[in-house]
Amino acid sequence: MASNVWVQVPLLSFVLKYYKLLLLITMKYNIFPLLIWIENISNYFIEASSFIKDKILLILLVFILIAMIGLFFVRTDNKVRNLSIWFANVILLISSLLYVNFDTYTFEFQYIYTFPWSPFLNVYYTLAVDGVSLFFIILSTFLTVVCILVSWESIQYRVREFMILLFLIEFLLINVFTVLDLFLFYVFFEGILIPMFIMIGIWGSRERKIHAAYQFFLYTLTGSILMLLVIIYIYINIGTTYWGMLVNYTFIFEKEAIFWLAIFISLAVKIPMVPVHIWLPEAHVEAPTAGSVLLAGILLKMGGYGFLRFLLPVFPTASHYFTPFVLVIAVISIIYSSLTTIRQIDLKKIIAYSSVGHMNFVMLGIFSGTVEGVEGAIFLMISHGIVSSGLFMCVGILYDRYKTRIIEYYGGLATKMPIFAIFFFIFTLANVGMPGTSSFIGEILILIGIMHINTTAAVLGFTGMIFGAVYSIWLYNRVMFGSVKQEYIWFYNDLAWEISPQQGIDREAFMLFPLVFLILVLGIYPNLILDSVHCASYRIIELQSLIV
Amino acid sequence: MLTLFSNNFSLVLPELYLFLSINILLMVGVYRSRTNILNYNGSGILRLSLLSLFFLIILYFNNVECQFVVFNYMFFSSEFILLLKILIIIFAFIVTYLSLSYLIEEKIYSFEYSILILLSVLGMLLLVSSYDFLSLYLALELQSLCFYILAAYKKSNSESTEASLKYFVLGAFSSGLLLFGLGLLYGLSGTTSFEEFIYYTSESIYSGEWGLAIIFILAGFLFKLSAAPFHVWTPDVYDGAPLIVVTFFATVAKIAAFGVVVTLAYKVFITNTEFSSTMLYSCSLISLFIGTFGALYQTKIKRLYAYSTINHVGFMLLGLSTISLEGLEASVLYLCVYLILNLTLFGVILSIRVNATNAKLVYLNEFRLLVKNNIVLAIVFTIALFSIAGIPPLMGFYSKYYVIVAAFRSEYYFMAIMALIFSVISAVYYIRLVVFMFFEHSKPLEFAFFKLVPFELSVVMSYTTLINVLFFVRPDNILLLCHRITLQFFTI
Repeated sequence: MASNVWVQVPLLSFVLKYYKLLLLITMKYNIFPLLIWIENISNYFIEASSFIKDKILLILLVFILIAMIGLFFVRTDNKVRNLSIWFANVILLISSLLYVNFDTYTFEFQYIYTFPWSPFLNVYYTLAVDGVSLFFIILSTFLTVVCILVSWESIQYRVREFMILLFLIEFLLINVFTVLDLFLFYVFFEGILIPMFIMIGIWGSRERKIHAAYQFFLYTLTGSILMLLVIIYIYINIGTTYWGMLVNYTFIFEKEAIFWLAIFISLAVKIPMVPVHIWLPEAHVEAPTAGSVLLAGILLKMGGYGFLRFLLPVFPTASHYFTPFVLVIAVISIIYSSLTTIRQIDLKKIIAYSSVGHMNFVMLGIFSGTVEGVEGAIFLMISHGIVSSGLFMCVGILYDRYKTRIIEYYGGLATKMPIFAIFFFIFTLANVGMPGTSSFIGEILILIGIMHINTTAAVLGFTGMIFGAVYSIWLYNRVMFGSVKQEYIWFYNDLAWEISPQQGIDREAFMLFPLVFLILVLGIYPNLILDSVHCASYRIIELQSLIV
Repeated sequence: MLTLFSNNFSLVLPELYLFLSINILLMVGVYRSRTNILNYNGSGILRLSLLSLFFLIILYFNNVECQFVVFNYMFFSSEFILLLKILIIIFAFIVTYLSLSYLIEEKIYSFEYSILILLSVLGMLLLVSSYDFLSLYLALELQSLCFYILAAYKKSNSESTEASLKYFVLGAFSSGLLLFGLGLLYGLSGTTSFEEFIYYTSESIYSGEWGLAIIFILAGFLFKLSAAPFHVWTPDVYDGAPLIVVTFFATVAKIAAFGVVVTLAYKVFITNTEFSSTMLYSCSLISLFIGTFGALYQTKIKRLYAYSTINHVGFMLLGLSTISLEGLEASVLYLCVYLILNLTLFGVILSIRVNATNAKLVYLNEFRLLVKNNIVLAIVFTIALFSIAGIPPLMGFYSKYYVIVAAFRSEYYFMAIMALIFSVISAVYYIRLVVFMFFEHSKPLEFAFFKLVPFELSVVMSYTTLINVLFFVRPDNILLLCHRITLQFFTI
């Protein structure tokens, strides 16, 4: 256990460090006494955490609710921004306690909290964390902070409502990733539609946003009614929707296959896999930058999480049976989306389509039936959450300055915006899956896993890596190199890198920095995540192999 | 032997009280409106009728006995009926409360409005507790006649009169159907009493004529419930009648019709469920279809509400058509949820008035004016719309879920899947209103100041919205209530 703590020190120190950086942004005067105070408080938290270990999840959720209610009473926009970044940071700190106290040597659920939500319906609100869900929770709290920083200046209209919606999404996300009841999983999974729909619709940038919002809403709703049908059938015939019971239940194979297909379709809409991916580029392009970051960073992962948590353990036989089918669709999705990406002219669409490709790598890993594959899938999801968020933030920075996302109008930015070019370069490399970045670890693990069961799928699927290099490097080439297109954009200004009391602190460089830091750290030392994931992913494979 | 005088009048005390208070209020109203003709605005009678409804609720809550049959098997009551009666009175109370400001705004200064509301409430109370086809028919006519007059209450408006006439003609037609069915049934069984009828049919074998009679009788009440294919009056009446009266039709009137359909399908025709079940089933399917696809092309808010009502009636009938405990339970829950949500939806359009013209918003795309004027009202409206579209974690989702669970339990797989598909399609027109409100920016010079929301409306809407949002926290209480009340149909 002691060694375990040492392993976690780098991330913890990072959290504290990152916290200081955020403080620097929010406070515009001398803050060193405050920093010491914050450190003391956080130390106190870590010591006290053994007492509140069972209640961390509850505290987390209650804090988010407090943030939502508190923001209602704040009038001016600047106060709303400051208060929400404070709340988001505290929530991030609390959620990092989950990681600090996490016992990596067991696959059992930890931090369990149960509330008899409806004994009449036999639905219990059980929250728990294991290796699969741990990093999704931290990712969602982390990305909320990032989203607030991203929308610091770009959101000028109805700031308060925006922040409340952001916290509402965070609340629902943490519930999705921790709840152990299939019915409540569905409730929260669907509940995210409302705030996301409103966010795309109100703060989207163009007229086509209405179309995009409709598509997003209806694709997901239509997909998920299939899941609802299965849930109702299970509820009637088994009498419970609790995960622990369903895992131990053996279905008749024909029924299991039908259930599997229905749930697969509804989750595949979220991933998204190819026939049902149309909503994703639309929604990404029309959403505000924070919305894109949330969509790519964490909402797509709900699909992957659903596969890992519910589909594989509850329907192991059907999962095994349908593995070739999934692999075929995933390979088609990878190749199709990669080829589509090359031809796009909109910066956000490129990143959106490349997300489709990466998420289908994840599908290859999930259905590889090996521990390496599943671990790689989780790792790649986390990594993609960071990388694609970073890329969307870069696009957001460009859009905030020059009000266009069409590649045609950009060129030679490396000479005019060198600091931005460096950040963008690191994110591009991570998107390619360069060794040394976090994506590489995930992709290599998935490659190892999928090689075990299907060489053809491995070879075909990993042509996507080559295509990824093609579109990413070509994108970088077109935007950053070449001649400066002075006829379109007259004035360029780079990200500021100095901290000066006169000009204040540059927000943009500081919000990109933690993402770059995480990408490199996880690329160099992946055990920060993998250590906690081992046991949980082993259980997923174990549950499958027991029956097959 | 039961005679008229051997009956216990204390059991029907609430109804007697209501009848007496209506008479007194009528006399007071006539006197006051004649003596004080210049500045009479009828609100005094309205307040008095509120008071009498309040006492009525107290009387029902303190009922000595809730399971009895009196007046020579003409009049009965049970826990379920009591729940329906309390619902009727509570919602009638709320609608009357809301009409305080509405009548002043619309310059309707006559006291007969409150008398008609009370009379129709009396009709509905008698309707749900009728135990004989004759008393059933009489109570139905009492209620319907009040409705016809109420629909025409805005005399200066030609649309209101037109709506009333349409309602009257179609209502008379449906009464004819009902009477035809009653006549057939009387000819076949020789009795009009439910008690004797149940006794009689427990031994006999049904044939085609019986089915015809049952279908005609149910058609008469499904008309009142505005279930398709008997829905034709609904959009026109909703569109033409005064808004407060439409609110009354959409909430209170539905409870009574629902109660009668339940009594018929679950008590009177329980020995032969084929005909009634098939009838409810097919009406449910058609209602879902028409309510979904009819609403997609509407541009007026009231017509949209009318079609949405038809859609929800389809859901209620789906629960009822299973003739099972779960189905009835789900339908009762659906009814309660539908009432609360409809109150919010109607409350929103009741509370919007353009300051300059005193006009209400009629078309859907006018709602983009709402956000700039009153963001809180827009949020309330949005929550209600998402809820009624069936998006979790709001209240509307659980009612739909419950109905579909009941349909699954009774192995109505086709119907359950159709209901889910229709509910997804119907989500389109609900979220279209959200799109109109939030996503479309109004044109530069387009702006209208709205009047302040009346106090009564803000109270009612805030409570309904709270229930809507907080239902998720603890759904068990209301589920258990529905369960307990519906159990009695199956325990005797």
